[in-house]
Amino acid sequence: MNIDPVRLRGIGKIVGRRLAVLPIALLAVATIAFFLIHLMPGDPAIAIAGEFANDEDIQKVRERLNLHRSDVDQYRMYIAGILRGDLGREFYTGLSVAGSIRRTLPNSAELVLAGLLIAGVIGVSLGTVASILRRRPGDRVARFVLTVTQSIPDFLLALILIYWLYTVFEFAPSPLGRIGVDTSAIAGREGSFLLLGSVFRGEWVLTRQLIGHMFMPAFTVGVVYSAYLGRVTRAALAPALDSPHVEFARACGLRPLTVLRYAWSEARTPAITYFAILFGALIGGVTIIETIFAWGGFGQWGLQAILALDIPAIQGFVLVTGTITLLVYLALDVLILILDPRVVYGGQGGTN
Amino acid sequence: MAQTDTGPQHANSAVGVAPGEMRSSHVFFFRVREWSGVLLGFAVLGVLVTAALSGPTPYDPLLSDPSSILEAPSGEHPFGTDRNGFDILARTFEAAKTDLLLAIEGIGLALAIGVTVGLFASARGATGEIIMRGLDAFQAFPLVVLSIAVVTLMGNNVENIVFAIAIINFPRFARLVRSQALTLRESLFVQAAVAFGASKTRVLFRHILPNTTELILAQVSIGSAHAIRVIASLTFLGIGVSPPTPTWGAMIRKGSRQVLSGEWWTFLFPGLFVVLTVIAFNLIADGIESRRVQRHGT
Repeated sequence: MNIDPVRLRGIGKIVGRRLAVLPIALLAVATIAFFLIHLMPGDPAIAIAGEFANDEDIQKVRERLNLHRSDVDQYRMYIAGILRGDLGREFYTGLSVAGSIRRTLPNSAELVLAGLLIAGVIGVSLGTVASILRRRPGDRVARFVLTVTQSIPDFLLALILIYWLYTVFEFAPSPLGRIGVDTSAIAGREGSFLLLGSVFRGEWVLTRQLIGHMFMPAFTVGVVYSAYLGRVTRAALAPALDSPHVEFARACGLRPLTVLRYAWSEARTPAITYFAILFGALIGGVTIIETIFAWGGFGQWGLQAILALDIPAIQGFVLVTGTITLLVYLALDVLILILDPRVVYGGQGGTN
Repeated sequence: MAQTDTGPQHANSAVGVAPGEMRSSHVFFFRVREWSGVLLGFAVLGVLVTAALSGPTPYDPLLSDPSSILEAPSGEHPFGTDRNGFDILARTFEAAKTDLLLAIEGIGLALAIGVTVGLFASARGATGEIIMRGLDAFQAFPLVVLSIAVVTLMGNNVENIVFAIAIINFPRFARLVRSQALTLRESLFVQAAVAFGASKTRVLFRHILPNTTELILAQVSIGSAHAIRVIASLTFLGIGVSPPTPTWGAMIRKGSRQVLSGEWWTFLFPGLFVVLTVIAFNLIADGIESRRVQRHGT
């Protein structure tokens, strides 16, 4: 792919400008993470201390969480902590919040990436089939399949998979975390990208075990989110196949696959956009699947924090999900600028 | 139907003729085909609501029978029984009441807030801009997380899920109404209304709002499908569950303990009802949306 150098310089400028605004956006995310907790109805100290706590207990909880200080003081301490890289300690376990995030985030990233790859394969192929068969019965069938996959709750699909593949046919390994009950093979490597690491080190036995354990949760994510990618593919590819330039390519007598490739290059921008949006949203959002498979993921940790009203942990969770979303969107915009010559951000003329 | 009787050659060539010129029986089948998805969706929901309200099983959904625990589906218990000896069929229908009511209330609240916010956000100048930036900030962080936090903090009560649904859904209504209102604002009939001296509020609520009905209806249906799934997810996680009243999510949560011992009916049947309801709402939404696209082309 060759990019016009003038355009490349323009892209560089846009990236520079977006990177310059990033710290301000991050501060906004941190502020939201803070006020989300502090402006909510109800007194968290009372909720944490429990129904039977007396005033003294509640006061102790307040002091441990600094809730007895004014909101402004708390906010100042919180932002100063973030700048030092200190997100505080979890209320119940006393573990550092940053450490917990580092431990759980790689697990989620690998699961979401594997799941979205499966979703991409299922969704894009169903969407392509529907587009080729547009206005024919096959289109309706493919779209109905997409409607059904969109309608299955992820936890139900996970339970059905566990029941069939593990309980009945004993085909899949136990649905207990990344490698089952015996974790000796990955001892001391928690918090790293286990699957990628094992591939790079050439530990094929471990790779096979990890993939085996990842199959059911990743397949669940894949099926449930394939509908989004399938619909967006159908919506973009079907008009592209009817467009004049594709008609012209067909009239030139190009092979059907080549024609499809030309149409697809027009339709890929929305598909890639959806892929990135889903990645940003799911990194902390495959909560239920991670909980069912005891995955030790970031969403699972965040959910436990919320249910326990563990304020430092919730703030860390919101801060990290917000930051990841910002970074993913930035990467997405740059990627689309490179891939799609029609897109012009900001600058002169053109739409965004 | 005077114009359909102009001649036999006309009535038989239905292909390529506008529906208005067809014979009435043709019109009927044309309509049924056009609305087939919507009709199917409403039929499923209608059967579900009727069954939930009439309670077709002889068993009390809130009364367990300790002598029949974890029984497989049979003529006596078509969906089997769970580990406390509750009849799953009876509880599935009982849960339909709670789930559907929560979804409708939540979406209704989201609709009321979202439409109002969206209409005012379509105003020119600073007001609209401020409202939209506020929505951006609101949507920038995970709304499901926020909704879980809201339910937990407000007290672990099923009723509070209504607010969670409203929080998640109202920004979508607001954006939809705003984008539609921005287009409509430029049309002649709105200019005419302004020229007649109608007030801003009157133009928004009497002239622009009625023209967004189809879009809003489609979004109500999509939102309801989404709400049913969110309610099932939250109650599956144990959020807002109060033990005697069943919800589909809570039933699946209870049945999920049996997944390794093989009593599949405990989680499968309530799960299938979630899927069925969500498909029904999605079919209705698809039908309304494709009809709107046919008529307006966008």
